Amino acid sequence: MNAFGTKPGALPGTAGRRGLGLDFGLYILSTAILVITVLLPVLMIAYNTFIDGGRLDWRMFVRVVGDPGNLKSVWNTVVIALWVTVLGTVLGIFYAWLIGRSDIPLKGLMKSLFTIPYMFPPFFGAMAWSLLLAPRSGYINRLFMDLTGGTTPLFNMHSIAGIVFVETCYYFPFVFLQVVSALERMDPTLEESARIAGAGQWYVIRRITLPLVLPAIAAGAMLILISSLSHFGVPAILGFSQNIFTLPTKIYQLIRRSAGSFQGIREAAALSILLIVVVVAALYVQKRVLKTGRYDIIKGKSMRPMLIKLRGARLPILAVCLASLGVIVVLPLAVVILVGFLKAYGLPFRFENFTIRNYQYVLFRSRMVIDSIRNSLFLSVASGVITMFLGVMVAYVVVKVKPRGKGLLEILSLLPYSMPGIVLAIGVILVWSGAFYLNLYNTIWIILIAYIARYVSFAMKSASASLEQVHYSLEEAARSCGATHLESLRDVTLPLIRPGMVAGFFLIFLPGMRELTTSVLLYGPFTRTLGVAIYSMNAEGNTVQSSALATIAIGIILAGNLALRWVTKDRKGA
Amino acid sequence: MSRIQLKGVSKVFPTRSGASVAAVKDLDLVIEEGECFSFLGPSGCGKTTTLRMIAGFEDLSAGEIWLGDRAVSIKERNLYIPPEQRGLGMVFQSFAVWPHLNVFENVAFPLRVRDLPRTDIAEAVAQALRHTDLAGLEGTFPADLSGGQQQRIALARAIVTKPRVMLLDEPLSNLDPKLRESMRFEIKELQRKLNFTIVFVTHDQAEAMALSDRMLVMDLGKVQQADTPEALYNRPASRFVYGFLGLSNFTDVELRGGDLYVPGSKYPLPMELPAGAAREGVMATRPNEITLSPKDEGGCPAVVVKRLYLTYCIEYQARVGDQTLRVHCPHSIVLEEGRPCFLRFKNPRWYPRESGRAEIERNERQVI
Amino acid sequence: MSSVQIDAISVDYGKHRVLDKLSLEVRDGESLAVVGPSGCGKTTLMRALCGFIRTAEGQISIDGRAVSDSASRQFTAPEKRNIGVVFQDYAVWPHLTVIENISYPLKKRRLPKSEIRERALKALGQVKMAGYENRLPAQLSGGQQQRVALARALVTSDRLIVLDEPITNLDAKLREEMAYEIRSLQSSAGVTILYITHDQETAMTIGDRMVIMDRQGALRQVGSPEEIWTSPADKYVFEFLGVSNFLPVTVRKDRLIVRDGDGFQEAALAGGRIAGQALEGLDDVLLAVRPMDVVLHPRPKSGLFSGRVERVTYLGNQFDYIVALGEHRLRVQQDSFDAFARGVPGEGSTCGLDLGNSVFYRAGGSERVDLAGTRAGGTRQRTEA
Repeated sequence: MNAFGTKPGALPGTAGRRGLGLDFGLYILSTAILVITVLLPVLMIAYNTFIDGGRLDWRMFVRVVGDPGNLKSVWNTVVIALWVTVLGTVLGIFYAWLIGRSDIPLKGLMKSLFTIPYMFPPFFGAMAWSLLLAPRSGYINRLFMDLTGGTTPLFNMHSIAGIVFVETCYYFPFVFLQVVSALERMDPTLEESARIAGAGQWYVIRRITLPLVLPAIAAGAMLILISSLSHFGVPAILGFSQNIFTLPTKIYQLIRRSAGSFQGIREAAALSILLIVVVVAALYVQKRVLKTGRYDIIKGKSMRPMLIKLRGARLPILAVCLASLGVIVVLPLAVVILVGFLKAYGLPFRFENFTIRNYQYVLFRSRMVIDSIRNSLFLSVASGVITMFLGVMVAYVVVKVKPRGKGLLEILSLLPYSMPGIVLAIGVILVWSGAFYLNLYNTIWIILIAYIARYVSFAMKSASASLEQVHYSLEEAARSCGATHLESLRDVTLPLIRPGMVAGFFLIFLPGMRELTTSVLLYGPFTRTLGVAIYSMNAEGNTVQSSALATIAIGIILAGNLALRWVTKDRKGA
Repeated sequence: MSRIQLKGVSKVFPTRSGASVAAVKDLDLVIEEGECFSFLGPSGCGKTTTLRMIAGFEDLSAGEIWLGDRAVSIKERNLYIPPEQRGLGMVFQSFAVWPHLNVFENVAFPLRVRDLPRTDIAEAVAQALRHTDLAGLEGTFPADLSGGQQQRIALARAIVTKPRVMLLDEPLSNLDPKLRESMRFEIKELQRKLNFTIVFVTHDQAEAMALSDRMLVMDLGKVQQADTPEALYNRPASRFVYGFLGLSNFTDVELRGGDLYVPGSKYPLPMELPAGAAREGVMATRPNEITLSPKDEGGCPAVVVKRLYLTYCIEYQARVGDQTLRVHCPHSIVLEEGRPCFLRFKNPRWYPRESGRAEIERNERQVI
Repeated sequence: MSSVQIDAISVDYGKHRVLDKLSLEVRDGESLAVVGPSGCGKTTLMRALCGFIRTAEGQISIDGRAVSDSASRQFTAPEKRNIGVVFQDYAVWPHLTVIENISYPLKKRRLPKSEIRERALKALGQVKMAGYENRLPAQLSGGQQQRVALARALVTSDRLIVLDEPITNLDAKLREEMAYEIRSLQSSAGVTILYITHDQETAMTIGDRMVIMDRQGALRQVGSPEEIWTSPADKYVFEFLGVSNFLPVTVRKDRLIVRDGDGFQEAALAGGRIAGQALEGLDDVLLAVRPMDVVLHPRPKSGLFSGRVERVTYLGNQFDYIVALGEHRLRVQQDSFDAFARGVPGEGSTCGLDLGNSVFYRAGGSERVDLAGTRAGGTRQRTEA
């Protein structure tokens, strides 16, 4: 082979003028769409923050940044994110090691349970824990106060600590999944050679295993950090009542209070800049950390790693694992589902207090709820389909055509990945509320555009992964068999990435169904989404109804996940 | 001290389908002090499993393993000494050099575990690096080194504690052919200098022959034959061993009226009747142990069906009856395709015919 | 059957020139094996011929018809060149069954359904895969996938097939088997073959003629395997073909002289005075000999060089020696049957070395010295930049 043989030839000009025109057209189209949906909102935020009446004006930005309330929210955001990152990382590593390297039983079950928090939005957890541990009304706190006869609750979930706890429960799988997969791919002889060199189990973990999976840990930890920094749902549900604000909730509050006044939106834009700065700083740190220590730890020979015997500690550790899984995964879901069947919040969980009235109400009587389910289904399906095709187009241009400006295209399509949803929403408002002769405010279209911008990274990543699998020789083989450029795409490339496209659709559909952060700023009177409906019913005190609706959402999400699993399993057979 | 003894060692693995497969069956073996002993066999034959049981990475299903007069694994008494307490050196196929440590730290690791004083460590590491030709690369990280150098780090790391026994698990298989050959001799040279016992696992017969004092051919978890390389090559106990140790022709032969014939040929083979020959059997020959000549000098008549010009010889494919044999001749012998020729066999062996079952079982074992 | 004329083509990757004015002819009905080290540009050559990359200079014609001509900016799309291709990674489409894979080129030609099936099944039989038509590639081994790729190439073109050999995917035994089969397919199907490989052994097995390329992408020698093996054009080719010994010698009349410590050793020159005339007077001559072509006598013998045996390794079918001759180390291999017959010297003993079967090169190894009487074949082609 020669060193260039592996370099995709990109069929330079082989297709003749017509084929080149096709590739070039796709390139222009992809760039244009991404510039409008992704780049323009960011530019508009910067423009509106610093330019007033056509002139550069720092004053508003300085005032907003200097505001003590805003500074406090920056502080909260950072403190919460750091705590969540530290706790989530420790928890994630611990469970990953148990499952990857010890002889603990029930590994398969635990592994699938650990991915459950991944599927549901953290604000469901916040709702559930609020039901259990709200300072006065929480079930557990009331039980505790009844037992002690005092008025001090066991734990106040409506606090910074509570926010940290709930976010940790939902974000630790980031580290867990990264580290488990690193441990599984790691060559077991790296650890075995340390054993034979005379090192005991703990020495090997400290000096060999942990340093080798450090890049995976760092990647997972950074995902937690960035997710927590831009997270809206949990601090909104647990923080508002106690006046605890983070940057995203502060931005939300500014917009809501301003009731659509332009000044309010500008101030929110200024805060968004602050949030972007924090996230970019985190991303910069991530880049620095990941740069050092990219090791090749993939195994050569397939071998089962030597499992470490927990011996006497095996059952106690298993009990701890199952208990914590119960608390993290099962309890919140169970509480939400049970409360959804209660006649009123606060009633004890006894049979005579159960009813299906809440479901009748949300499913058949509340116009708002019915609208929200319909809107969310429409938005998820539409954004899923559109974004998936957009992702395939961009990925095709980046992976196969490789034009000169592919770097820009890549950056544009991956930018939303690290852009907080709330910031994106503000950008979308600034672009589509008449700034460019088109006012979509309060319509469902503005939410659709926001979803597309938000999820294009997922689609692009999933599509390029499946396109990378289609080695260029597969297309060339078709050409040498007499197929034209277009025919080779139709007969070979497209069928091969079809399963990837379906999976990509679900990767957008599922988060779309539970989306809250972006739509909470964009919804109008008739364009609530499922997430917004649950959130606002809960905020308005309609606890049992919002729980019932959350239960319905859980059902839809579970069904979607099963479909996704079925689709990806099917893919392996091909 | 460094004699290794295996008594009735077996290892059973569960398979994915829930059944179990015996990777090693009832193995008895003594590896003498200072010996270089090889385990040779196709993949899935149980050779690596045996080595890993000696190292302590696998528990036994039955039997005992002794290192010198110290028992390290006895199934019956539930005795099991973990690998770090067995005092062995080991080198893996994948090198298993730690990418986050530089060359010095890699080699110093076994000594640091033992909490030796710094000066002792520096001295021992320097010596090990000298032995393996790595002096001067102390501060380099493995990723910046070639495969051969990485394997030398692994060697240095294994010898730095001066172990009496060195386990080598296909240490050369990931190297290119040229390097593989020179590393063979480096390992042998190290053994001469440091005087340790070598247990070597490989699927490459040339490698095993070049290195070993004695070697053991394994198949389907069982010992096929254990002996010196010469004895194994010249007197293979079974058709499997014959076929595994070099290029071979297995020709069906039948006994008719006191003479041996290839089916479909009317000329008797110019060889003596083996003692205890069955009516049907297989004649095993090596392509380079057949002489082919255009003249009839008392050979077996054949026809050249194909001629291939190879680097080290000319290969003729010669048809006798309904069987085709490969014959390797020096480049000086030139015969056209389709011409008659005569074959003489220098050292033919005689084996009973084998059923296809062993081959099927071998394939199944590879999947597990 | 087709012939291919490659005329002074150059190929660039960015600023890097991979092939520089390379010319090569594939004759009608022959099988030509192109062999060279990795990175030498042989895959690029194949891709240029198939039309997957454009040439910067030069012309390629198939059967006298130009398919690529940089001067007139003419370029025939790959689908119109009618070349069967077997890719390095087989490129069997994973979403299609075996029969669908093989039928694809025929469908593109819009043949009637019954004919498509008939021809596809015939090709499947030719590569010994009958009965596998409804399998998916994932259910086949690497070797079987290669057979499917071969069958697809056979139905694409019965005139010209280009094969790029997989490097790691196949084990040595399987590679040997495939080489035999491609060879016999070529003679039965009567198709012209261009075979790209990095393995000289395979090239010798498959090629009627073979081409040796060097790392810079230049052709070093073109000729039949026998010609190339017996008379390698230069030191590079000699070394590329297998394990080699090079020994600087001086020739006086019919004597070979090598330096040994402070003194010299002498041996008779094979070919006697006639050979000596060709070699005498050249300052430095490089003697090249293969380990198997040296005859090792367990004791020194007059008329032979004598050397000290440094290492003896038994490998079953052969003995492998390292012998010191002056400051040089020679690698010697002897068939173990012969070795046992002649006697095996011990390490440290002195032995006699018969280097009768040697080739001589001018100093630096750039050019072979043609010894009168031993007429060398091998048309040498060097592309001068």
